[in-house]
Amino acid sequence: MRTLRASGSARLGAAILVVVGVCAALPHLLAPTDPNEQRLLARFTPPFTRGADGTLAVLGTDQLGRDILSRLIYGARTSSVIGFAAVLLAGFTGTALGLLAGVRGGLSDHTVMRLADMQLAFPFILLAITVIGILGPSIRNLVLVVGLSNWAAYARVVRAETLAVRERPYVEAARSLGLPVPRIVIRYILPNVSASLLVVATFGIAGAILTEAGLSFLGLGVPVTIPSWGGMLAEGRQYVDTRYWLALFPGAALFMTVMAINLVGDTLRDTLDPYVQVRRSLEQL
Amino acid sequence: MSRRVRLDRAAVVGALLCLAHLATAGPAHAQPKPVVVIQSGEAATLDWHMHCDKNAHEPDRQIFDTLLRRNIKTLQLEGNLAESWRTVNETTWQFKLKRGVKFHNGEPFDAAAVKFSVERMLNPKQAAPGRTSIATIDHVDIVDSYTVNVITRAPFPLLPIRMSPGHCGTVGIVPPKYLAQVGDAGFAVKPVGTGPYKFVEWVKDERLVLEANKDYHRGAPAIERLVFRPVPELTTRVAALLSGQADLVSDVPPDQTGKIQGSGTAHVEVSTLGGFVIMVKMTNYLMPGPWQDARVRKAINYAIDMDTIIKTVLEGYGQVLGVPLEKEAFGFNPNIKWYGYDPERAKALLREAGYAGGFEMTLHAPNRRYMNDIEVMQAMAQMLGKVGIKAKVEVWEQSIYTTKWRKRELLPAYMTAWGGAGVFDGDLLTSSLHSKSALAIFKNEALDKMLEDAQATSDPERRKAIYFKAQELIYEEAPIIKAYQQAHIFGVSNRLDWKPWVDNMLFLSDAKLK
Amino acid sequence: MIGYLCKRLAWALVVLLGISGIVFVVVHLSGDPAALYMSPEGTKEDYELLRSAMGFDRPLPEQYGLFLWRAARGDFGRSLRHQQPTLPLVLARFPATLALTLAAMLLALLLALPLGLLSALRRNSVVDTGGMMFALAGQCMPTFWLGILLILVFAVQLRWLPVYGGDGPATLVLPAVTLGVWAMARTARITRSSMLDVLHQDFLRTARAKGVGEWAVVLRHALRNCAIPIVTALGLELGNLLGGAVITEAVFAYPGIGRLAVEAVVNKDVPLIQAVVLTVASAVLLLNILIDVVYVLLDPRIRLA
Repeated sequence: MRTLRASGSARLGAAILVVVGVCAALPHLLAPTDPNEQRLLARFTPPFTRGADGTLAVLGTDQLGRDILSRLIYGARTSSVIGFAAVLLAGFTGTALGLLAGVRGGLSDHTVMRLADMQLAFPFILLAITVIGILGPSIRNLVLVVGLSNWAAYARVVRAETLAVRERPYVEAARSLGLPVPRIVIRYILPNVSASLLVVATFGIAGAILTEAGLSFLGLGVPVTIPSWGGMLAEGRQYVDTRYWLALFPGAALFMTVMAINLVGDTLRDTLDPYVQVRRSLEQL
Repeated sequence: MSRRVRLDRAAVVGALLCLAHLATAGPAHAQPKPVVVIQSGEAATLDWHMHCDKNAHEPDRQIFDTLLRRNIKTLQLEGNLAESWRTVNETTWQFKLKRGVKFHNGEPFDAAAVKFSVERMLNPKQAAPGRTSIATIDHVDIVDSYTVNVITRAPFPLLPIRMSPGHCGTVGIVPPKYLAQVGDAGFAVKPVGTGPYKFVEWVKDERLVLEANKDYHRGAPAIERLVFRPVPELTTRVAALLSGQADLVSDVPPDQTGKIQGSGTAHVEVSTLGGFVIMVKMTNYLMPGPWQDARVRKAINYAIDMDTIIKTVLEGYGQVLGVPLEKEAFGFNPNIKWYGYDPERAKALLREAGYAGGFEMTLHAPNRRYMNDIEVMQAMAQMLGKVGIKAKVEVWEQSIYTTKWRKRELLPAYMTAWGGAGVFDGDLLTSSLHSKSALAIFKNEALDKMLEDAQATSDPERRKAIYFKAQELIYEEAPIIKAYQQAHIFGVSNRLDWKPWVDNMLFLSDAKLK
Repeated sequence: MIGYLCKRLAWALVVLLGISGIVFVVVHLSGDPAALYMSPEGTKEDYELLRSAMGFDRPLPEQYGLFLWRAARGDFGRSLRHQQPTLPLVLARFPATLALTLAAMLLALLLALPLGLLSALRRNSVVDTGGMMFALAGQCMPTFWLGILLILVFAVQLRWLPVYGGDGPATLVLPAVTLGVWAMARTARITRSSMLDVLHQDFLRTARAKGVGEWAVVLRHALRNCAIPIVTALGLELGNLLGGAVITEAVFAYPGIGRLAVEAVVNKDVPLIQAVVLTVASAVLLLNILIDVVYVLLDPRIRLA
């Protein structure tokens, strides 16, 4: 905490995230209009000008006359939901599998590690297109795809920690006292792991948000009725040199949010365990 | 291993690989700068009979010929590889072929080639995707070296249209001896035809190079070399045109036209002829709901302000049709005035049908198949909302869309298009609205019967009358939401003098450099 | 070493088998692709004909078994769309993507190592903050966005570089930059933090005490020791890069395997999908094994599991 407050950039990052969080939590209070309301006669209104039908659009309107500021605010919610949900899914799956591998060892360990190899070697885009194709484009399916493609990092961290902790004397002592395995996990492994997991998760959120943008580019993002920064950026990309505001604002929002997450994540990592990188990589072998 | 060594090694490996790759890339700019045509995707095969793919059809049109083709000014069919044609009787068409035409490899074009081409497409084992369009043909008889009789199982008034260039389902003439030599697989990557351009090379995903056929029977084309390049990303296509790296781009979205016109390196060519006829189809039997009542369907039509949509979303590059048929089509009924924009009338009709409280429906949209398709659907959904119908737009990726439509899962309403292939015939109605057609989700037995009658009649006056009545019935039943026709917008570099053809695909034999 | 390699290769084969199974199931779950290869006017009987010609009317396990049997003999089927054998198709495009990925990684290394080094040595100075901010910025932009902006500036406005393509060295520049920025950013930051960890260690104090110059200390001793995290990072990047290549190749119309993959999935070209996935997966697995071997060469203290 002391370090967090000390670092100026981390403070900036935290501030940005607070703004994003507020937008995500209370969009209906902040947004001037309904994000999906079309005003066809007022399409492509530039920022700070009045549309053909008289209303003022602070950040302009898009190709269907929808207010960009409102879409930006609602988009914060979409990005937040996707980021958190995907990371929670990946985190839970990864942690469970990592624990299984570390605690049981042997065949379980091998199987989980091969599954992790599979996940890392599998071209993500293929999974995304096919899954979203079968099940249809929706936030739920997006979260599923992004979540299930990233659990290996968590699994590796948890497994490494579990393997390290297993051998420690106090764990041996606890086992010999008859403490059941779940208790050991909760008391000794999880607390040690939580710091690293938090760091991985933080960067995972940033990754999930950027992945959603990439999938929107391929036409596989969030459905059109839900405003999302990635979707706005993808839709606005063809107007970059004529009607820059369609892409500039969601692009900036994405950029600042991801940067903020990275800044906060960096500080978390430095505070919680500066040696986690080196140790983790050594123990992967 | 020290860092420097590692780095050097990596650099050397990298450089070697790059060089190896580039060495195989080959020179693309050795001769005078070729005309570069950018496509949105790549052809899978260049065998005319074996695809339904616009990206393959465009180069194929330069490589192959058909027996007939349309005159761009009169829109009438005229001879191409055939000098003349006539009906001998109700089931026999005779074509007299041009003499002295050769395939690019020297093989002569004659009646045997025509017989081979038609029958190859008909052969079930060949599994040509367009087979059904010519299935009424039974076989071809050779009368003499330059005369063929095409024998059909039943009257086939559309035969001449199928002998002119269009999407799949039209007969391109292929060389029998060459095909026998190289086989289907060889033909797909090294095609030979009688067209204005000869195949030179094809580096997959990179470029397809054609060069002018100096012996072309209509006169050698002015442009020496054509290169087709696939560029999937729209912004990159437009950027290529603006930077001078490309000469011709099709399917330019309306909002990019200003940028291209003002660029100084390129301009825009617009064609309203032969554009896709786009309609949102509704079902009356595949999914229970309010849409089964004709009044509801009429109400839906009244609720949509298509003129504003075309003016804004399509920036004026389109026209409202109402009936799903082009104005230039044979059998188009000019007397029908489709439903206009009248939201009050829509609400009244809904009340009358018992849906005063509105209802929910899903509109299925393709993903960038047609000009601003997603935006059009969204605008429609919003307008439906204003009369109490909560419409949800579902966008599906292309291949999923095709699969679902074939399985008729896009219910109760979905957007599709027809035409754009130079057909110009009332038969378009059969393809889109006959209940047995692959894409139909609407069933009306009277309409079916009318369309079948028209297909089986050789007498043009009778056909016209039947189509007129069919359109009146379509108006009454309102199985679609306001068909409209989109214009075709091409981006053309300023050094290329080229005008669009009668449909949305390219013909480059008449183009020249300025 | 040989035993280790054999074991790793054997496991890699198992993984590939698993992947092929997953792909098979997932693609077939979404229905067979015959519908896509037909004319819209085609009838049901045409559909059935095409389906059996493609082999999709047989039960799934039989189809999978057939696939495995043929694959073992090197025959990965014919692409439905291209009507050509798939493996040559895939292998023909692979060098292009490899060239792009290597160019991107090279770029990343060339920029990241000095940046990270400098930032670590001048910790908390303007150079450090500025450098890290620059690196951070590279990690915060969606790939396609960066690509499009680069095209607009360098290809359209300035006309220094071509917009798209895969022929000639000029066409490699913008895609490599787009792809490499992310890797550059990550590597720079990891270089910095690894260097920071290592800079304080004992053996360096010894070296300094011996009178070895600052730069010699850094280059010869410190870097070698923080090579491992850097190599790990690069190894992990490989998977990301091959994935990011898909988007980069789409933006720049670069004729590599990424575009082939997307096209294959979009067209439900089942044999081609299998071939692409397996080739890419094999490449990633082999490269990972290679990196693990490099670990041993870098640091003899590490034992192979």
